[in-house]
Amino acid sequence: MQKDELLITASLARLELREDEIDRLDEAVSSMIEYFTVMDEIDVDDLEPTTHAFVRDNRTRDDLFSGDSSMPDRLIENSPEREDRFIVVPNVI
Amino acid sequence: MSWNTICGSRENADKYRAYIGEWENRIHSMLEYRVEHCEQGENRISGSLLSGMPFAAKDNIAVRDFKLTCGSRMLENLVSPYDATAVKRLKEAGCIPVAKTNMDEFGMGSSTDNSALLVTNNPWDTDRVTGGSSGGSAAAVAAGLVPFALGSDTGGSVRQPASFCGVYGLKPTYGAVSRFGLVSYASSLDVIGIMSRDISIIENVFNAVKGQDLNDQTSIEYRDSDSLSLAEKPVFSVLKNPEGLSLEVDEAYRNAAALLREKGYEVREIELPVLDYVVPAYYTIATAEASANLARYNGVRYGYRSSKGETPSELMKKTRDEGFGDEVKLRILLGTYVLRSGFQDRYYVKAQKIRTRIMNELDDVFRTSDLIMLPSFPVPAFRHGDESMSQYQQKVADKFTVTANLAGIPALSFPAGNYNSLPVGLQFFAPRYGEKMLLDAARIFENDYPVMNPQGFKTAEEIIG
Amino acid sequence: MFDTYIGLEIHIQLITDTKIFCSCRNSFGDPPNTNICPVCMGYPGVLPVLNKEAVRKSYIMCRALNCHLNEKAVFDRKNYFYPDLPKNYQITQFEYPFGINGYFENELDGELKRIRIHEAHLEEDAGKMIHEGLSSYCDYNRTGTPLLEIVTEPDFRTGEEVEAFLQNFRRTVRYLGVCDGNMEEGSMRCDANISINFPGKGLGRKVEIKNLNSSRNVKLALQYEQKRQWKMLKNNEFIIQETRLWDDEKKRTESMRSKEDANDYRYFPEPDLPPYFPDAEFLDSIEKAQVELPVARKNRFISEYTLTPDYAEFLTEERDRADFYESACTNGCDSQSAASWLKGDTAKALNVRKKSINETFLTVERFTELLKLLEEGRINNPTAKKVLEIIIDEDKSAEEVVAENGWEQLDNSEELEAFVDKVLSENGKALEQIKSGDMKPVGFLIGQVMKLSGGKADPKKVKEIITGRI
Ligand SMILES: [Mg+2]
Ligand SMILES: [Zn+2]
Repeated sequence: MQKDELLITASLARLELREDEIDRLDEAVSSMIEYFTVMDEIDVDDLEPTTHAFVRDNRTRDDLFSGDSSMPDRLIENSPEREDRFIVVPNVI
Repeated sequence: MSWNTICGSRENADKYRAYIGEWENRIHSMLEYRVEHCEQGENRISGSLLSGMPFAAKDNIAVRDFKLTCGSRMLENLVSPYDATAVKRLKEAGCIPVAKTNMDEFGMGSSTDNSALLVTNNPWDTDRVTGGSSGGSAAAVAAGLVPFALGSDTGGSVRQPASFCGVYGLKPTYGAVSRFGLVSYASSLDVIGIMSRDISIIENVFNAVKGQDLNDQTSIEYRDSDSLSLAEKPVFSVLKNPEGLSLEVDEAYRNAAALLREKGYEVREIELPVLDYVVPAYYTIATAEASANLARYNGVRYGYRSSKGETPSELMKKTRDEGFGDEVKLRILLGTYVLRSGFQDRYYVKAQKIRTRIMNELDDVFRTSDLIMLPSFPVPAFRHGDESMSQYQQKVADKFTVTANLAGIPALSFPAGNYNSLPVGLQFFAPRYGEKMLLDAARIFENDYPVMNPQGFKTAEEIIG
Repeated sequence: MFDTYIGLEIHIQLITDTKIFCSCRNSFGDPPNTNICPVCMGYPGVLPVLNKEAVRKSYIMCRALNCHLNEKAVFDRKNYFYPDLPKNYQITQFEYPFGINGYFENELDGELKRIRIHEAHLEEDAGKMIHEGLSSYCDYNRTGTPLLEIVTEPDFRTGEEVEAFLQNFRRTVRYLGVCDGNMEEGSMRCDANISINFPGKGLGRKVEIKNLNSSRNVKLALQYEQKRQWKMLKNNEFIIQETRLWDDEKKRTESMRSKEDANDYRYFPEPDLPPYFPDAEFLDSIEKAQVELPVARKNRFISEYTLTPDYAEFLTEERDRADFYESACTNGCDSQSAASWLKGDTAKALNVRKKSINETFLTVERFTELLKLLEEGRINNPTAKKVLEIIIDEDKSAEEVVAENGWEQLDNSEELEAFVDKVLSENGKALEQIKSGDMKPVGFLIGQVMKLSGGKADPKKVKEIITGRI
């Protein structure tokens, strides 16, 4: 894999790789991608991909409110930075 | 079962705490333990065999007011605001959560050495790993710290550590146990599993946690009538030419097959050509799903946040760089890569088709045999830092376990004797809804391969005695 | 001249009690971060649980848009990082949306035109961010609001056409009860894309316009953009494929600097949600929930009730109003006077009260009764207006109100003549004036008689008597 492909991938994944990590991960990722090419050998063109579990019936939930009234506050308290009831991040410029 | 009485008095709880403490100094299987929870024993449920029983849960399973670190710096200080459905059902049956166990970060690894928070040692030899990713659960069970523990199995993470530590490890049918509260690694493969030294406890726990859950729309209804039972004279399939096994595992595998024949069972030799492709297919699918599942850890709403970063994008990148370990980053990168436009068909879609092929091949085998017996892992517990077991080698070695996850079928790893003072485990595969078959098949070997005790092990009676 | 191609992406927030994938309230305007739970906050370990009502309303809309309903619908993950998107992927539908290949019958200035619908898919809304100084403030109440995204083909040619479409579309979603169609509050949102090219050359480079919060702004932005691109093409300038934002103050579009990374959303099937297979029984219930759509209904009103387009448009603007009108007609009201009373005084009274017709005590029966009283001459026009106000606010019939207040029109000529006599005798000057040929005071005299009668006299009759005397 080309290093710039790794960097594009890292950027899509929001991973900022430090210099020392780039080489290490580049090697590890490349050897796995290389390994994945084994899949080229098997002919499965006539098969449908399996993407889901075996649930066949439609699964939906009734449109009914339920909730624990203390939950919102507990969740807000877990945020690294907050002001009043807002969760704060640096400004999106 | 005196595990039911260990909770309920201050005195017993103190002895129990001391026993855990002794072991923990050597094996570090738990990220958090709180024995005071079982002092009162107020959870007694009459008629429940599990009533009053303490248990541990892997630290990627939500237990309200316990931590939920997933073995990651990213969530080191997160306390779960809710209970996983499996945990809730166990509490309703009278079980008492006492510990959260160590694991490879976000379930990614086969040694538990990928935990960012703690190094766990094998109770049989503290120089060795416990396996992973549910290594803490396996070690705690093997050392007798809890009668059972919950783990999670995405590609073998319950069965492989169970085999390394000499205990039983059940990976249920996909969807048989709700994933609600199990931190997702690969959603279409993940399932909560159970580890114990006692087949009946696994059976009782499975019956308590199984079945459809409104909070998990991939969970399945699991009525008694759905459960498959073992034929009187079940037919077993074994691999004709298992490749890449260590001497110990190879011997254990042959011995077990011979023993089955000796007992009068039919053992057929089969080939599973698709085994050559299961590992790349597994890592393609698992990392693809993981790349999305782990996107939520970005330092905004909870968990670790980098002190650097002037824009949200920078903040996220720095947070994720500082908060994730190498193996996690590797898998996120892989998963992101295989989903990128232009690469998706070659990797992700192809892997999903191979998955279909695996199901078809296994269906064919199950047409003529009831169970498949396979090694759990090609080697017994290896040493910390063993260079012959690089991260890459560990992945390649997952081929016997990942197959069950890709097919969504249940599997059980059982102890198959100790070789050179280390436990070796083998596993059975059954068709979907075959948990009862697996447990009954394990009972066939129960007397030949009893669960062994590592040095320093005490039974519940001995702990409080 | 150039050819213009305009397509729309419309997001409508579906009316449900709870969010699409969790049981939090789906409600607008609550204090920040009060309608949140581990699911919509993207906590570790939680899973989406699909809301039945969101599915039902989506299908109702898809069907009304004449879409082909896929036998199997699949949810997908759309991957991108943004602080307002807790999981950093949006659950949406990509390859197998609920509906595809539909159309919407649009109308502008009495002319019908079919706008093709590319697809309609269900997805989750993101949270809201307020940007202030060095920080952005995140509120996740909106996170997980069910959204139906409707994508049209590039079938529009002008901004006016789009404006009319949005108005008709808004009425449609309200008729179906799937969305309240409020563009200002953002429950209905619209992004437009426009491309311009030399005649016969097909689509040009697409420019997307965002930040459009009213149908008028959509029109203005498209007109602005059309002119801008015409000019560029004429001058042989290169039109960049980009996203532009409408600046409402400056009344122009401005280039949104392209994001730092090229997007690659890496769609893949959502493993946490099984595919959805609409079955015959369900589809039947969707069929039963269909209603005559506003454009069709308006045209029927014009022909069936011989109404002017103006009246028909007004009456069919809201479904409850159109229903009210039609029941009143069935109930025996004259179609013309019912229309004029509804568009006139009734609308005025409801406007003042900021209520829709179904939110008051006014029923079709009472409205019919009122018009009957008027038609039979038992009350006069001004009295009818007073009665209308009362039967809107109070649980009373028109008859009751008239009886209680003794407002029935005076029919007795003797009584009226006595009133006229009295007024004439008291207003000698006015009488003189009239006799000298100046008819101006007649109105004044009628007014005096009306006053004396307590409003109950029939003004026509009074006039007759007065002119008779003179
Ligand atoms: Mg969308
Ligand atoms: Zn919620």
